[in-house]
Amino acid sequence: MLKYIGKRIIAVIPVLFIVSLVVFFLIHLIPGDPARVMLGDQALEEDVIALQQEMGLNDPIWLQYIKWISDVFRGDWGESLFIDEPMGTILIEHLLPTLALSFNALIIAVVIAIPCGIYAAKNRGRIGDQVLMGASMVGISIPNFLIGLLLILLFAVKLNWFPSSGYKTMDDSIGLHFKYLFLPSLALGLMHASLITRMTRSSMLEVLGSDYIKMARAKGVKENVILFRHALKNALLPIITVIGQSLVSLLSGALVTESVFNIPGVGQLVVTSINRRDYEVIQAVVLLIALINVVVMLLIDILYGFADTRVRMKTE
Amino acid sequence: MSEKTLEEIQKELRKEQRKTNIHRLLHNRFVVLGILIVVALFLVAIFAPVLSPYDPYELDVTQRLKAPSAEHILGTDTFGRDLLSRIIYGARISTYVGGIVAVTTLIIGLIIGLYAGYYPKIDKVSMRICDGLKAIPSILLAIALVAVLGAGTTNIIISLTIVYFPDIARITRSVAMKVREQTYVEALKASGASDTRIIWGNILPNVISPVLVQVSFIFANAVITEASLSFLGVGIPVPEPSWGNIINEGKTVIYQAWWLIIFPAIATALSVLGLNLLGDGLRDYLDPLSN
Repeated sequence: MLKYIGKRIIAVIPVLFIVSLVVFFLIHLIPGDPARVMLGDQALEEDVIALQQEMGLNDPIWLQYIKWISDVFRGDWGESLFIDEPMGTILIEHLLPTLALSFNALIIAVVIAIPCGIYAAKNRGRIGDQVLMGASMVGISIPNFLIGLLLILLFAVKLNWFPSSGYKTMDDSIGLHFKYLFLPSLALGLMHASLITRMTRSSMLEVLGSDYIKMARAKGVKENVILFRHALKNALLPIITVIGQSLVSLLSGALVTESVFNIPGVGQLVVTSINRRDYEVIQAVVLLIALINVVVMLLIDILYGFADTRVRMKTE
Repeated sequence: MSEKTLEEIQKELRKEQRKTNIHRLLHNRFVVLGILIVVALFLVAIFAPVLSPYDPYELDVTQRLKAPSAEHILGTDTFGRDLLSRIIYGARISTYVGGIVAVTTLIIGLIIGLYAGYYPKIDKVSMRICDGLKAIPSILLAIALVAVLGAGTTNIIISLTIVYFPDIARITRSVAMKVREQTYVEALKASGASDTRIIWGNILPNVISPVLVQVSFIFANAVITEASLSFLGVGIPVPEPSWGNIINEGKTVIYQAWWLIIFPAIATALSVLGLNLLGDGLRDYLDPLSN
């Protein structure tokens, strides 16, 4: 097991290296002189030269990268041109609403999806299955910012049950926190509910077609016992993988959903930073989200190794 | 004589096979729906100037925010422009961006995937690059790339190509690796066939079907991502009509003008649905074992 974990961790290193290269070169993709673009058209020549010096733009590119990456390791993730706070504080402040949104959305998705998936698998080919599969196809096809806007139109504009936008922290009031987060979480959760439903269904179907289930049936085991005790247990592994992957795509989906509901998360931070040409903030956010992504994937891999010996053996 | 009849039988069999295949494809109602939607989307995009009742850029302040009526079937926007015309022209942007991205990712992904699958050295480097790119969530990478390159159609296409080509490269590579191990490839090598001939003549035909399926999903994702970028205000710049930026404008008047959100939303969702159904259908058709 330790060997397996070690191998997985080592496999992550080149991925992180490439991510760091991409994030580093982002600034250098800016057409023209990054320092000049960042300071805008009306910048004084001396300010531009000073920023060029500070960013080390005159150094050879590999030296710039080494300087940058060692700063990153020391916890210096750059500076915002507009927000007068350390980058770490900025990131954490904006990450909390994003995480709250993603987490609530995940719970909504799982609560909807697992029962729907099991139901669809049990009633394969019947009308209920077809309705659910059709609905989940539609759910996958509607971009989640659209689901958000449609929910706002229905529940905020028409029915006035929920606020149309904004965010309240838990400290303000727990009730309000969830009231404000409900529509955004639902918007984000529905799409992933579709994905997880489909995965649960196909995974259950695969298990239900296997010999030991036929054996159990032949033996006269009750259908519900087969479904929940025999089949679900074995179908769970791929489902957990999809849930893990969902967590990551929830984070990135949250970036867009935030803009719909004016939630001050990392997504909004990125969008406002683009308009302000605050490129180091964009770099830091991309790096942070990619890091979270890689760590979550690593944990899923390791969990998988724990749960399934075959996975472990294959890599060893 | 007997050889000829054998050939004829084979021909007939193949014909029959093709017939049942097409029958199988058309038998699935969802796939037919998908094909219809996609064809309609392309027709709307091509014949946009003929189909739109008004000039999508024509401002008319006296007509601003008019609800759907006989004059303006889907209503007007905050500048009094005809919404139907703007949605029709928006179809052009979506299919253009989605289509070009599908082609560029296909070309780049195929080349990288084929050579990575054949040469282990290229494989190591290129697949690490793909893993690294995929470690950054696609929408975030697209936003970041557009942020530094600048908004605009060409830059969106470049960004989305960078975001999505690893998908094609990975699939191509995994199939190519399997084919490389086949005995007939070894036989070809032994008989002196060049690597280039094996890669393009023998491996390529094997990867075409799984790659085509993936391309249709990339088309759909590119449409979604373009709409999302434009909705965030970092994609297609106004006044050029894109479904995303129409919805973005609609969001500012969400309490007055529901039609500015509902109709472009339907257009976007329907197109993506059509492309996804088509992709699903293609997968079942080209690779029946996967189901």
